[in-house]
Amino acid sequence: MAEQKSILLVDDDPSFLDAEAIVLEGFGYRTIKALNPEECFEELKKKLPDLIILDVMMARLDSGFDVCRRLKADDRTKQIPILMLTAVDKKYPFNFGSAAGEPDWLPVEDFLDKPVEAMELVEHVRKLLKEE
Amino acid sequence: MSKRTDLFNRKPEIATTREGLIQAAGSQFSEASHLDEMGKKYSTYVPVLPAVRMFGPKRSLRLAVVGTPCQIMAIRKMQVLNILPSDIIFFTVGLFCMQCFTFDNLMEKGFIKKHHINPEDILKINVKEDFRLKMKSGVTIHIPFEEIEDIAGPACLLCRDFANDFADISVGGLGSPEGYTTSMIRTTLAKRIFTEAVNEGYIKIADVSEVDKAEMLSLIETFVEKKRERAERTTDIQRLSGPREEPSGPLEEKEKGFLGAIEGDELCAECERLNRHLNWVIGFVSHELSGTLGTIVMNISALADPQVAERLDEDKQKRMLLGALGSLKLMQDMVRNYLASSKAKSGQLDFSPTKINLGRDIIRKVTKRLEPSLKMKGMKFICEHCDELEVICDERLIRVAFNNLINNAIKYGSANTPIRSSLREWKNGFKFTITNEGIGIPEDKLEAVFDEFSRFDPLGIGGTGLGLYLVRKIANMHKGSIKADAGYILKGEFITYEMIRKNPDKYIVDSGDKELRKFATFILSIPNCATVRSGSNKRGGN
Repeated sequence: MAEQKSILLVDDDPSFLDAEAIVLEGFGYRTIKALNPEECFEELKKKLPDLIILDVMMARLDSGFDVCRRLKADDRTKQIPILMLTAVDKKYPFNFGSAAGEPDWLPVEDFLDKPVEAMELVEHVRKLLKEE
Repeated sequence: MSKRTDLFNRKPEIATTREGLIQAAGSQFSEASHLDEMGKKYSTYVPVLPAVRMFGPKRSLRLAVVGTPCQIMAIRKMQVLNILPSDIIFFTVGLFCMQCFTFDNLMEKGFIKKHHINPEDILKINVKEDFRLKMKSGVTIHIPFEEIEDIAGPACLLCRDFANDFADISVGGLGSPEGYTTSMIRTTLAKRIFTEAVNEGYIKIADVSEVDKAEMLSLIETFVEKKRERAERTTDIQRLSGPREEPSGPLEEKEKGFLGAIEGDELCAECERLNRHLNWVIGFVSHELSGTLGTIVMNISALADPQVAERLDEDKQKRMLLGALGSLKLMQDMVRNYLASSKAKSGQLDFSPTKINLGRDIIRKVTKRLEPSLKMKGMKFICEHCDELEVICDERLIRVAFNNLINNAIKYGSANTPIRSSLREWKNGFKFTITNEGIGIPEDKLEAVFDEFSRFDPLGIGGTGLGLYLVRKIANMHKGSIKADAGYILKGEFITYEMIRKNPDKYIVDSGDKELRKFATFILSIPNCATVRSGSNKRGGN
């Protein structure tokens, strides 16, 4: 039996984290929840996940950006794919999606704009975990 | 032109001959800044925008830029057209500006000759009501602006903006006493930053009487007019001296009216400000709503999609349904707050007082509604004297006020702590007090929390930014008030900032203590709403 893959979910909205976790657990993933960047880094100290799903705007606009840049600058975590998930596009007139992958700005492997449907999330997760 | 100097470099040059033109031909792939050369001849300012450019792709940076009207105008145009890097500029401080100066060939300038000035003896240049040269001898020479037009940047003479109409805040020495700066706050953002800077002690405000303020404004208006007149005069001279084709054919009456309308600079500046505020509000509202919408879509789409739903047991499906319902209720509250705020602004908020029972009709219903949030955080809502207090109030509005106060206490309270409240008769009306333990409120924010879209939200919880603003509106509509108080919990005692100030020896607070608990209290007081107290249970609770 294949090893259960783990996903670290970072979002400041507990009700969204809850929904996201139920869906992903339904598809056999193990989920770990973090409500802020500090909890995210604490969890990473314990064990490295196979994927990180990160909200861009937590306490500040740049919280998510800071987190992903720190993760990609750290040899220990830089290999972990990041799926950035956010509603930030609604507030700022930039196309964040098109910038995904830019090393200095948005060094993430994938980007999804909220609201996102459950199956859409699962499909992106499968792709990032190379399960398709 | 960009003329090649070596394999990798070019230099800007103006070609005036056929040979010069040919020399500049060919492909070259390094940065060619040939327009800089032209720009230098016409630039009216210190080039700060290239400095902004150096931040390049570090998009998370947020800059405040200090600039002359032409620079702020350029930034605003770039922001409207989404030209990078203007997106990282979030705040602009605009300088009052009559013109910038070029000091080349100073000896040949009229005012130098007229006032017999030796440029080497100039100690300091200042611009206030006029152009001032402080000489090494201690003498200050005042020169009217009209006399120094020949050292003004050519484009400055066409500029119509003195008071930096498009900045968030405009500043300048004009009208202020020595050592102070006149500041014109133009946007909500500027108001917040300025207020916080004052509260933090970075800015000291001079005590200016209303009469003096009116004089300052009048002086600024004079300069605004002067600059506009000069621009019109210069434009007329250019029209006379240069070949400039006027549009052919008579304008339709309708077009004339339209052009006349949009040429009103003040109107345009006001529209621009309102537009920016409106855009900000739309952005704020849609962001807050879409966050909640995200949770609803995730939950409902999982239940609706058989591929997902078949993998969830009954218990999980129920959790998702409740999650969606909770978010919908939150959204309903947000929409209600936005609508009420919008109606309050336009004076359309209905006010229909009827007899209501605060405990039964309001508090119990609101807490029942918020039960899932209370449960989620392991909080207990305690209310003293909450039963059977009858008042004449607008039921719908009072429910919004209580909902916002209780919801606020839950959102910013720590998990597993109680929310304490009490409802008492007061001045033939009532007083409702609600206290939570959590992030508290800093002393300098006790008033600001009631501002529209103001939020003391270090946890990044989110919300409408209107909750407490509406509570105050509703309290005022009932001729009542709402105030915030906060402080620390020391050995079980609730100590307000005021108590600490009055008794600094008695209450010693180590603000760095991680174990230190904070509290926040809101007191809603509405007098003369004809209460009738009845019933025997006077110490009920939820």
